[in-house]
Amino acid sequence: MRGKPDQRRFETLLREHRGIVFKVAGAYARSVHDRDDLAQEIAAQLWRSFGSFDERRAKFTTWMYRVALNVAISHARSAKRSAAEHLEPLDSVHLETIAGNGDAQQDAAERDERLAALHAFVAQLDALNRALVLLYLEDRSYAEIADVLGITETNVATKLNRIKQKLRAQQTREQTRGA
Amino acid sequence: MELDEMKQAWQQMTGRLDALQASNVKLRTDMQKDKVARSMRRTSLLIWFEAIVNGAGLLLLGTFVARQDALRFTMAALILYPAAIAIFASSVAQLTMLAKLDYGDEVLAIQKKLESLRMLRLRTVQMELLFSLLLWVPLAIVLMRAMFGTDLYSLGTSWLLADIALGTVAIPVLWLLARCFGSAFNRSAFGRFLVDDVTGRGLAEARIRMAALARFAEGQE
Repeated sequence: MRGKPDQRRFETLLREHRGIVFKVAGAYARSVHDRDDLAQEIAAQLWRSFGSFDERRAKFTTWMYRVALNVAISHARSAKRSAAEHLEPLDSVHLETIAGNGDAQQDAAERDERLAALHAFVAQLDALNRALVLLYLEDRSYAEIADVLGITETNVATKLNRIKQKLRAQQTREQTRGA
Repeated sequence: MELDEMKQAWQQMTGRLDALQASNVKLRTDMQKDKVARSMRRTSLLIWFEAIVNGAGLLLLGTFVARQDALRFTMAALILYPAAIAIFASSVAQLTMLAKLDYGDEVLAIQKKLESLRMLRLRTVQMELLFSLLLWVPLAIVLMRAMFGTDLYSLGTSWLLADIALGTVAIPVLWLLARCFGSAFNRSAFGRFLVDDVTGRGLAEARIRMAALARFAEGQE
């Protein structure tokens, strides 16, 4: 049975790395409400799985990404089934929440443009490739990405190259169409 | 914009996100208050419930056989036995898979396990539907005998044969109805699950997802 010190330790770790929970939830949810629900779902699962966390086997952040992504992918799959619609996270509501207030208008416009491109790109990926890109955007090493997903480092590099090429080709097509 | 430029945009975005959420959202880990956690435990509770009911059914069937002195009732119960054992075995297998699930394991491994569990559940429901239609006559004979002491054999051989034929014909009829009018059940999750299962759509989708996981692992996707 887990005692209070365990819970205190968990809460400290969760507070320290809470960004992971929100970023994963943001990448897989459909709306702000859904994102908050998913974040709570991830936090609850993290606590339930905390007993089996072994720091000799994995870093806390690696373990946290695994739990968060496993919950988020399962959530996205069942949400897709129940809504019978395409998985479309990081919608305009997400972006408003994230990019919302404060900075000069020009900065905000530039940032919004880049975020919109990022949104459009992430939205077209399937759940597993979305996890891969999310970890890459989070600046995780290939070794850690491989460790989180359970694939080889070579496979990570191959997939990321393929995604980069796809993105380039897509943008070239869009530019040609625009010109 | 290259993926690396997107990385910069991402870093800026998440910096703001951290600041916003640190002040606005509190993550709860209290299981009792968390409605989402309850929904996640629903599947696990359902599997436990099914296992207990199936185990009890098997036990009652065994008791019924032991207490019968008329061979015709023993025969009816013995026809049900393989189906009851298969369904109970599937429940035990599902519980074992559930117990081995550790969300802290690698994403691909857990997603494969979840998909296998889902496929097993779908197959079990298909098996239950098929057995309940094909074996409803021996099931009715055993139930009526056990609960009310009634002998359904007294209704005659033609009644028995007609009911067996009815059960057999019901299978394609049910399949056709599910295909034609299945959309009417789309509002409820259970109704959708049942229709997907009867039509085989659920299993086909699960196979597609399993194949996608395999391709991802091999580096093809």
